[in-house]
Amino acid sequence: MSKRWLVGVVALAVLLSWSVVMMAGQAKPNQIKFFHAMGGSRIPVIERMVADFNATHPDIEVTAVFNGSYRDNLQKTIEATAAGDTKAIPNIAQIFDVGTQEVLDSGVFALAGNVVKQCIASMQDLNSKGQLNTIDQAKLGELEGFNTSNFIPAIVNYYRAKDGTLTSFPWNSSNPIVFYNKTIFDKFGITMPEKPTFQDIIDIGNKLKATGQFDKGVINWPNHSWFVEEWFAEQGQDLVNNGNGRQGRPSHLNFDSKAAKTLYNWWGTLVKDGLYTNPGFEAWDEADRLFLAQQDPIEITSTSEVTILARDAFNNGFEVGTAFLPVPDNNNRNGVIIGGAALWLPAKQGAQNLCDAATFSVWMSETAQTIRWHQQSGYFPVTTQALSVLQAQGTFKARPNLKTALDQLTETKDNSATNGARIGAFLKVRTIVEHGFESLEADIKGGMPVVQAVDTELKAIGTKADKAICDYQKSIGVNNPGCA
Amino acid sequence: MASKFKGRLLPFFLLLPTFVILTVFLYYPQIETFILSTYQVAFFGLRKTFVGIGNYLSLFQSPDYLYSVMVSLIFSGGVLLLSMSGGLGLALLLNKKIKGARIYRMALIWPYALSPAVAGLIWLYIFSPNSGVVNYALGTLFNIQPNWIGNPTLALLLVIFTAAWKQLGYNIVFYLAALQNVPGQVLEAATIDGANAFQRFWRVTFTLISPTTFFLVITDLVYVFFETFGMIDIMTAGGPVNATNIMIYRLYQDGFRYFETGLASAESAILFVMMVILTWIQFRIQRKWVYYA
Repeated sequence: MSKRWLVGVVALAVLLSWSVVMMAGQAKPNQIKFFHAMGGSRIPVIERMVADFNATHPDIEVTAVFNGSYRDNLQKTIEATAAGDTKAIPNIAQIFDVGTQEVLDSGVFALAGNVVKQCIASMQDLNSKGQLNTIDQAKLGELEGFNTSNFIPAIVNYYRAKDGTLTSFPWNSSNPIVFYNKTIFDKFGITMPEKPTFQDIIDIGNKLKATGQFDKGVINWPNHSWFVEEWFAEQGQDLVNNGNGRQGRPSHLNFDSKAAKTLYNWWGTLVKDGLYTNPGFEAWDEADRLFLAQQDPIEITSTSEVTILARDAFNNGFEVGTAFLPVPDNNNRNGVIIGGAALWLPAKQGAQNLCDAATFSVWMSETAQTIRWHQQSGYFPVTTQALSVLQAQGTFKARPNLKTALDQLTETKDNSATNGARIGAFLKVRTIVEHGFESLEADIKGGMPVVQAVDTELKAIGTKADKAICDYQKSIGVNNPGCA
Repeated sequence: MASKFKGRLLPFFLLLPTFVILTVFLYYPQIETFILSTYQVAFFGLRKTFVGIGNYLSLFQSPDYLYSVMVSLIFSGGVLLLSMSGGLGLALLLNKKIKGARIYRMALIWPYALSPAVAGLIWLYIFSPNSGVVNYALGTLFNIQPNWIGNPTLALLLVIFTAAWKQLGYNIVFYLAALQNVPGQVLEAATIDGANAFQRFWRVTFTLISPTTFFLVITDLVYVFFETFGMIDIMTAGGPVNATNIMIYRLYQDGFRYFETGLASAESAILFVMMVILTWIQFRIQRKWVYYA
């Protein structure tokens, strides 16, 4: 009797646990980890978007993980991927643009364009056999709606491989513009042209300096190679040889070009005349602080700061105006490089995870999400449709500063200079360029004539950068004939 | 001594946990580092090429790296000198019977409770060339505004001061404890023998606290070589023009910013050897000047 009772209990237990497992199996959504580097007020924005995605996609659960700076996020992604633990690797990683070449060389990531294509193919296959459930059919629809021509061309071209395949999903993009303290400008009757030239900046700077209120300088931007790269693009000059590193591996940084001399002679003059304040090495925050404390009436920085700077300026009792990035000559404005980061998909995560990660990335670049991301984070809306919706809503009339940023982008010509450079050792090259400016500033402040200082330092930067570029290629076994 | 334990294996058994932890967290990584330092490692560590002593050769041939070694030596010398002499001086003052000694003591030891990164941030704000309080005061009073961060010499001085200030509290604690252990009778005897204040300090006190000095030289050396990293990162990021790029910071840059893991491992090995040599020299010469009562 007792034996039969026992058998009954065991049978019941097995049945119960089995059904629990079944239910869990049905209800438990697929876990997707998303590594990003968007700190501060952007964290809650991302979390709300992720929550909305999870609610509309019941079989996927995305978790956003904030890892610190771009460099930190790349480091965490590398660590997790190199360890080879499939549970630890992110399914989606936000990686900044200068890491593009290294990430491609690593072969660790699947190309976004290919992933989308494969997912669509396998799901269509299942669908034709009638094996696709309604949730997956909705996903298929979403993936099929994805088209790289939806993106603003100037943005998407940065992220294309040599054969045109999309490498990663464009996500947060920005470029530099001039911010100026409109209240101070109005007070002294000075106007900033909508599209200033290098000479305009010097003239305005001297006028401001003559008021005697700005003895520490009138204009700043962080000592960051990003600005140098943008000024190369504006002058239609490739940063490196071999079609800006997009036709073949580069071997030479074009710091011996006329564009480089023009830029650095202007920058050097600003230093010599005491018009430029150096906020420091990659010192974005210090640059903002100087502008907001009204020490420097002009700041050049990322368009993603538009909303934040305007708000903080209002709190500090002044109004912000914006203008295009200054260039040597307005007739030859070539445009800017899109800067920021994109969403990459690590390859070794299994087909199911890849498709779910792709679904999330595609969803993030849909018009509705793009607009929301733009309005709450300050980054560009990356699709043309989002742009026209925003225009129709009159957003840009109400907020002319946003318009400056967008006009500068949409007026950008599509060529190798504005598509941005592909360099393997980009991170190192950037540091070399930034240290080079530190030397230049020290030379000029030590009394060396600007032209001579520029000549010396540009040569030094070029030599060091060429070595870094070639050393990197050697380390991955690339034999570049350009590297002697 | 061995007779206290039953059996020969018991002592080894008791030591086992320590050895396991040391092996896993110290010896194994150290050996791995040495091995890795003979490879050229590409981004993501996906491709490793054996280069033998290639990494070491390229380091010793690089003027930038040799410059880093020099900066490291100046930096550590400066910090050691300032923080130890300052620590001893302040400890001597604190050892006097004065009103509110406890409050002074707490205030002086306080900086030690800060992390190097926080100390760096505080000094950065004070000395910020454009918006710092020091330059505001100097500008108002004397109309000069030195670029503390942008000028190579000043930047190096600034990080030396910051690192010394941060370590001051630690040195004060140990010196104070040592001073309080100096027996009063010995000093009294010296006074009776006609020794003046300086002689009493130099011949008696300083000799009696020499074991503390020796201990502090080694711990402070470890501090300046390895722990000041966060401070440098926040204050100057190794700049301007590598003026503050000490060896540990360059190692971080090569390893974690440019992902040249092999090269960074070689730098780590060099640092390790340097520390071993420095400590060995310390132990050698201590016989001449350290007096254990």
